[in-house]
Amino acid sequence: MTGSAATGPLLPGLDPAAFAAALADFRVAVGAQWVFTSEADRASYLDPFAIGDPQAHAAAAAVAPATTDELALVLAAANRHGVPVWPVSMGKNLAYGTAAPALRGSVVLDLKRMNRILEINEELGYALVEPGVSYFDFKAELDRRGSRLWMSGAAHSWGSVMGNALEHGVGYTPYGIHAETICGMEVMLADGSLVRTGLGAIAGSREWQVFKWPFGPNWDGLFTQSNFAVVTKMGIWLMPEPEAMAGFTISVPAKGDLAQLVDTLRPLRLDDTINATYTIANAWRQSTAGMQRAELWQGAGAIPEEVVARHLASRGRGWWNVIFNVFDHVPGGIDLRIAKIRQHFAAHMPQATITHTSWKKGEPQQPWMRQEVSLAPFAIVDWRGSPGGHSDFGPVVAAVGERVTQVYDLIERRFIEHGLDPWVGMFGMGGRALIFVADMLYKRDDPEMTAACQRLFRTLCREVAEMGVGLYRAHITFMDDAAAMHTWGAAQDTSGGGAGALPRLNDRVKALLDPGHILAPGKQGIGSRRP
Amino acid sequence: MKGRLIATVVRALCLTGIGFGAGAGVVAAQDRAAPAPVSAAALPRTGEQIFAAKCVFCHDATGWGTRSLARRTPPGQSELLNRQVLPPALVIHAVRRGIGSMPQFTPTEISDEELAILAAWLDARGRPAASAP
Repeated sequence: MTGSAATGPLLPGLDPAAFAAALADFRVAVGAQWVFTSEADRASYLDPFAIGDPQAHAAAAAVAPATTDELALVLAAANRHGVPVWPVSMGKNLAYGTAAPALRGSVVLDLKRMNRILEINEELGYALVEPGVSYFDFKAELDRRGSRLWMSGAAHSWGSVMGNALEHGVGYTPYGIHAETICGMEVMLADGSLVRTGLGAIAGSREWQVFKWPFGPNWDGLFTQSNFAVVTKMGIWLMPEPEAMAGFTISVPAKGDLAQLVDTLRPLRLDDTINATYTIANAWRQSTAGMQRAELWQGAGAIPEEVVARHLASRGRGWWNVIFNVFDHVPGGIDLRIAKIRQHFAAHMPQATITHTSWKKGEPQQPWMRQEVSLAPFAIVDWRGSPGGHSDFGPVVAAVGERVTQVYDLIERRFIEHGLDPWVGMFGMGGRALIFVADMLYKRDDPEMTAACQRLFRTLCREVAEMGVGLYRAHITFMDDAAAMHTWGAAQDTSGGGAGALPRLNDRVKALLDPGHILAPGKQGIGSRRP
Repeated sequence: MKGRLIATVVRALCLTGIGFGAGAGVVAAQDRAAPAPVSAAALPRTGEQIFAAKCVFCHDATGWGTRSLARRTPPGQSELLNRQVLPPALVIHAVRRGIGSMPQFTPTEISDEELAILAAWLDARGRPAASAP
């Protein structure tokens, strides 16, 4: 299927001869078998959960280098012919566009073949990986070595260890804010030059992956959720195996208990008693467990609140459900954490029902520990039937009950108005904020439903921005909308465009590092060329 | 039952490093200055190994894919390893383009050659069972 004469959608204004010349150069760079142009191969890079027509983000082709030398040749050709490339690692950014580019007609720069685990350092607790290493790959290698280091996995294991961290993904261990575990990168700039960040800039360094704040600015953050360079290697910290764990489930009865729940959890998370991400699930999110939507509701619009409430009551569950794991490296320490959590809830939220289970080093691992690789979360995709899809609205909200409730109430109301089940989880990744994942679950072949999702997302962007709230991540369909929420300093925009100060800075950095705008134009709204 | 046994075996292969892990090159710390080149195209793959690497996590006895297929296939046919009729063209179409809610696979995840081997293996598995009395 490779190497046919077929072509995908070309970038508006791009000379077909220039595109053909770029493809020819790509084939010289990586070998003809690693340049994908046929209709079937291009289809494999479409977004499987597209919110509307997947062709709106169709790639013109894909090219897959295996080394940084090949990558440099690809970028040189892209610059020479004015063809933008969209880098992906495993290409499994599911719910956010998967491998598809923001800008239709871009060429997917598929880094799956750059798949080496360059180092796992057992003594210092870090690894150095390339983009194409999946969680499956990484866990298998840790197990093969009998490593005492634990991986903080994402919700599904198909994705890239590097890609998830670069996209600010979340896990469920004390290392669960994956972007914060990044330590040291090698990146290739648009002109093909390689740079190592942090102490990697010292020739012969053995400290590249062990300290994040050496002499000079820390650049690692600039290369997450951005399009300033292609990350070719990344250091990531790994947690030593704990002495013990406990897994908590806390059920809270009433819808009006949310603010109290958030304020009760906050001090425990802030002082690290709860030392990993907690998840608060609302009633609709809990209702999906092991069910199809049609078993619960077959009427029009969102499942009514009273139907959900009855269903939960029949299962003996409250309106809110919290799950989290806690970890301790000191023998006996886990019992102190368990006791403190229980006492704190007894004092501040006595109406909550708390259960926990526990594990100690040497015992067989159990599913609640979330240490095994898995694709189980995909089960939600079929909630409304097949072919299903999902994407989420993800505001970042200070972990203050009153503020969280204000944002939650708005989201629930707007979802219902748009005919969508308000399937909401709130993730306490750190102590000071909750990351909402308000999931839009839709049927991909229902154009009215996907159009409603688009209206809903954009409405919420406007409304939460008015509250001073921004997002943590967004599907490629909405990257410009999410970027436009950053309006602070817009009055100083002398161009008259009304862009905020930060988006203007991003665009200035982009123009400096990538003047041809060949790296992922439109990623996070930076250097967007969409009409 | 046949499918369950094989799924257990292929999952064990995955957990021992054969399967998903086989796709990633591993370079020891002392080799950092001169890492070994990747040669993904040279990976030996049988249909069973490819299934273990790419399919089993959704298509074993209890996987999401099997549960999803159970809603629209005849009884006993939701688990791919028990499927009596599974034409290669359908497998190739589903893998490369996705089907239902299953996302598609790119040619860097599973090459055309590997996909043909996988499809032929699944097809051959079904045929004897289909003709059994």
